[in-house]
Amino acid sequence: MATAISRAAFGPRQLADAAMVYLLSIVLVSLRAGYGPSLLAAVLSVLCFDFFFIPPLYTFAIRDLSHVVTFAVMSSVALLISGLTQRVRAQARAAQRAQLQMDTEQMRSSLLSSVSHDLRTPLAVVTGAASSLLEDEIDAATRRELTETILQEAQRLDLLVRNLLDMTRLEAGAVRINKEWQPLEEVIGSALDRFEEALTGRAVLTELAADLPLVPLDAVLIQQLLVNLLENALKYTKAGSPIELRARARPGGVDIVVADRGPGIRPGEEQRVFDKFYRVRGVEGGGVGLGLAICKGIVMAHGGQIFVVNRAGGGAEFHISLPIDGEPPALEAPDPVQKV
Amino acid sequence: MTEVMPLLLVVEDDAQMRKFLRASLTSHGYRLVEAVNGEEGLTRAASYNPDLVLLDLGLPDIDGLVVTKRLREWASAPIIVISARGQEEDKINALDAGADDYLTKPFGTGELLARIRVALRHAARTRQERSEPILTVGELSIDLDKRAVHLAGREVHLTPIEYKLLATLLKNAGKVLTHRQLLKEVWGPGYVDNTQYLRVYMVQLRHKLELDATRPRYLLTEPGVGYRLKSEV
Repeated sequence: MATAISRAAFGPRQLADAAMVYLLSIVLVSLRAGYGPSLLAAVLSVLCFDFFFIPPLYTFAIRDLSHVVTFAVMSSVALLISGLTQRVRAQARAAQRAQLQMDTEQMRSSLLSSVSHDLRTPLAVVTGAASSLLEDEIDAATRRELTETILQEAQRLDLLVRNLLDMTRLEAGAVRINKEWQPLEEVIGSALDRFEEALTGRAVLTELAADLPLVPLDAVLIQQLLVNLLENALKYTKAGSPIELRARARPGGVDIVVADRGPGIRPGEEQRVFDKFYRVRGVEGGGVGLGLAICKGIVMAHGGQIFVVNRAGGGAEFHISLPIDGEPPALEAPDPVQKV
Repeated sequence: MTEVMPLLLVVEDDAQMRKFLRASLTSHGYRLVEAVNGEEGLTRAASYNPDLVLLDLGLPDIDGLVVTKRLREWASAPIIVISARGQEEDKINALDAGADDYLTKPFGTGELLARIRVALRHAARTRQERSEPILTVGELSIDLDKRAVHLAGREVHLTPIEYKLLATLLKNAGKVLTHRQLLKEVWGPGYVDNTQYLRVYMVQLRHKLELDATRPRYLLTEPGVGYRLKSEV
């Protein structure tokens, strides 16, 4: 390419300018590509220069001694440039890595401190409440209240620990996914059952398509996924606001939707909500920020996809898509459909 | 004749856990015997012949599954195993080896007492010579003699397999039944690995008996383990 440019720009006499263009091309190549390509560019440039510009033209021979010197100098400059720009690139990369490491260290230490805070706070409440209960001067009503608080904080801790363990297991690849052909109504039902008390006073609309097939999934993991989504829906929406669960079949899989009428996701954060330790700012009672990251891990382990969009009219809509590979084994003996 | 409260054997190595179990069980009138490891548990079981055994699966000396099997060699008392979360396989193996039900740590007093009540009730029923022909849970009833099922007064038409499945669940109302146990009971020992049969028929049962298959009132799914028909609706 450099040849074309310089040939177009200069006549065969203007060696120096042509040489500049070649050298420029070498610099460009070595800035963009690795060491190998830039060396190749250097060699090619030198050869082209010789061929096209150094008399005798169109040969690789060199007649004049002065041209030999030019040639030699150009070759060495070309190689030098390759070497230098490679070094510059390597240094830039090293600087980037160092910065990244520093950032990661910082993030890790701030995460550790926020996780530690999240674990310590409920523990502090439990310790405080329990030690108060041991004093004699508390009336019955306050006793009951403090005891309830201990139970609630312990449940909150349970959730935090569970999420931390799940995330660690998922990352370490220590989760054995045990897929079996299941009807979606079962996992959905078992997830909803966990929230029986919490869901009182809320409208829960479930809409499962009539033609839903059996889906290969790990019941325990998918229940966990739905539980995490429901937990979020309950946490971030007002008491009494409705929650919807829908499922329908599509070619090659099923789509599940969990939707609420809460504040929705801040525009632009639809991807980041699934990051580890991402938390909604300014909302009380948030967890350690792993719920959705765990959901994503579970969905991906099933070969599926998860994303969230804001709904028209307010609220968030989580979409989970699970693939169906193959067919469930057929049932052999048909059951006579007659009255018992 | 005064009713003697049942004697429970608690096999649990953690001292704080024992404290909690002791406090809540004795406050509800149960008599208690404790063991801190598997060997002691087996010895105490033989000496005291308890009405029910609470067995933690995470014992330091012997595997909880082994304790279950050894107990089942001679004891018919119900066994409720206590396991940590995420150990489905241990739970299922214990249930298939003869344990009657399970509790997952952490659990509250309500769940603990409910499981114990159900297990003791079933044990009492199996001890009776003549068993009740009519079983009722909430608005669901089954007449085992007439082979008829009624829901809220109306008769429900079930296929032979659906009926057998429901009958098995009702006879064990409140107790968990593993996939294996249900398949063996309804289809036969050769079918214990054909879980999809069970699932398809459970879907059919749910659609015939439940208003909303995703909020079942009777037929509860225990993910990874099996099914349970709620006994306290």
